[in-house]
This record gives sequence, C-alpha cells and structure tokens, in this order.
Amino acid sequence: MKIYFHYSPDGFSNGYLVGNEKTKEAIIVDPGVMDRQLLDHIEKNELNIDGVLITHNHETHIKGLQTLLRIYTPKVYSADAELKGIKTVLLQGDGTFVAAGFAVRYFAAPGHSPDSLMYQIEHVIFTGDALSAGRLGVTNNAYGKRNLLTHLRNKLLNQNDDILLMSGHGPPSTIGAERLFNSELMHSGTDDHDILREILRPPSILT
Amino acid sequence: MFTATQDADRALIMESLSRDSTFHSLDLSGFEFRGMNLSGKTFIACRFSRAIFSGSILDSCRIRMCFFDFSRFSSCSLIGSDIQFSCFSGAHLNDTTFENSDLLHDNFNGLLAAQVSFNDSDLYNSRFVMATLKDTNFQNCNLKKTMFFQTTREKVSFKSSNTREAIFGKGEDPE
Repeated sequence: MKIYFHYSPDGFSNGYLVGNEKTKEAIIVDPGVMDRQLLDHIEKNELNIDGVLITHNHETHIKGLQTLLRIYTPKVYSADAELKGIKTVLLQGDGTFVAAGFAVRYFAAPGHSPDSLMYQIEHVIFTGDALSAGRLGVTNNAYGKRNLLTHLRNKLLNQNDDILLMSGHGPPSTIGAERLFNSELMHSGTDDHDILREILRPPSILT
Repeated sequence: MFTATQDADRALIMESLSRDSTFHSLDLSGFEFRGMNLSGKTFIACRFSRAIFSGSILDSCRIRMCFFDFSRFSSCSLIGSDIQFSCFSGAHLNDTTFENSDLLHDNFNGLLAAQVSFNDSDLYNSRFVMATLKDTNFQNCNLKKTMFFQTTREKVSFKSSNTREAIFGKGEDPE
C-alpha cells in the first residue's frame, strides 16, 4: 500500500490517494480538490481509480468529486445515498467491503456531522473530521460531542497504539500519540447535566 | 531504492543507508543512529518510531509522511530539511536544530524540546499541542495556521514571526 497525501489550500483539507501496488488500483479518500497535481500522480503511476471514500459530506471534502467522476468511473462510498446528484454505495453503521483489492473497514462516527465515517485500510485509519492530531472534531452541541466521544473511544481507542491516523485536516498521528496528547479525547466528558443544559437552553431567538 | 523486510539484517540496512539516497516504506522503529550522516537523503512513508538519533546530521533531507513518534534526538542537525506531513508526536528533542527548514503539516504534539531552534523555518499548518518547549526559538518563522494549544513554554522566542496568524490556546498568546 502506498499513500499519497494531497492538500487543498482552498479548504485547508487533506485528501489521500491509496494505491495498491499489486493490482495497480487505487482509492481516493475525500476528493476535496481534483487538480493537475493529483491527476499527474494517478496517471504517472498508471493507477485505476476503483473507489472513492467520503468521510462526510462537507464541501471542503467533496469539492473535487464531480471533476473526478468526469475522468474516472469509481464507486463512491458514503453514509449519504446521494452526493451532488451522484448515487453512492450507501454505508451504514460499521462493516467491511473490498475496493482496489483492499479490505476496507468502515466505522460510523457521528458527531461532527451525522454522516461521519472513518475508514481503515491495513494499519491506517482515515478519520475525516471526527478526530485530528491533538483535537476532537468540532461539534455543534454537548449531545454531538458525547456521541462522537463514545464512538471514538469504542472504535479507535480499542486498537493498537501503532495504528496510523490520517485526518481531514492537519498532520498525521498515531493512536498511541492521541491517547497521550489529545486531552479532549481522553479527559473531556459531557455528562448528563451538559445534555440537560443544551435541551433547556432557550432558543437563540429569545436570548 | 531500498525496502526493508521484517527480518532484514540491521547491518545491511545501515549499509544501505550509507549507500542509497531514497528510501520508501522502511521500518526503522527503535533503531539507534549515533553519529550518522544522512544528509540529502529522501525518506518517504518510513517509520522511525521510538528511534534514537544522537550526534547525527540530517541536513537537507527530504522527508514525506514519516513517523518519528516517541523518538529521541540529541545534538542533531536538520538544517535546510524539507519535512512534510510527518509525525514527531511525543518526541524528545535536545540541542537540535531545524533551522531554515520547510516543516509543513507536521505533528509535534507532546514534544519535549530543550535548546531547539526552528529559526527561519516554515511551520505552516503544523501542531504543537501539549508540547513542552524550553530554550526553544521560533524566530523569523512562518507560523500561519501553526497550532500552539496547552503548551508549556520557558524562554521561547517568536521574534519576527507572524504569531497573529498562528493559533494559540486561550491565554497562551505570546503577545
């Protein structure tokens, strides 16, 4: 497996090209941008794009999807049935599928957005915006934060410290590093009182 | 180009490091590099987790997507290096210089740094969350989108750097 990191200066987001050296197939994770640089890399390495993995439907992570599909004909995997008018392979909950010759595991991690998914290929997990190095994904309320924390603690922290994490924004990390240096992930809790405060908070129009 | 296998002989790897110039997917976790000159080498997707570098020179190295998590650097030089999308989380750096380097999209979270110089470097979009920095300088640096959250700082200089474009935690702003 060879991973090529591709940065979109427009949305400050990370995209990834994951190549399978044996089959010459590849996966793109979050096509936030589809530009000449990425195209050249695909063509130079004679890769056949077999799948596109969408971590969530925010524009900075899917902006290049339509351009990509004008050039290649991959399946698009997402927790949304349709993206920009494009029918996807709908993923719900947790599971596994095969793309580009890789067994791809997926994990639902709602909180940053309702459709947030993380994908694992071999020893690498693509976390999207659920988690980035040293930071928890941004959530809108205490319920979303608790939901996200529960999913991350159950699905990431039960894995080996040497697993690599590649996120939708910022630099790469490892599970071992996040365990020690992500205080939001390890120590913050949103207790029932926080949830109650959110529910009882007057609508913003009244405040 | 050299690719290590799990049972590759250490001596062969060291010989290759001296001879070859580009390395891809090499796993050198836990290795010790004492007094080695690796200047000008290219490392792509290599793993140096918990490796020890002492008195070694990595000037002008090109490093992409490499993991130096929990490694130790003492009296090392990485001047003019181009290190992007790499992870130094939990590393210990002592008496080490990264001067005049491109350090973009790098993870320095949990770093323990003493007498380290990042002067004249581009640290765009890198992170120093929960880092402990002592006698460490970021002078004349590009700190756009560089994140300093929950850092402990003692004798740290940001002179002539664009700290207003950096992201500091509440009350952690150096100004």
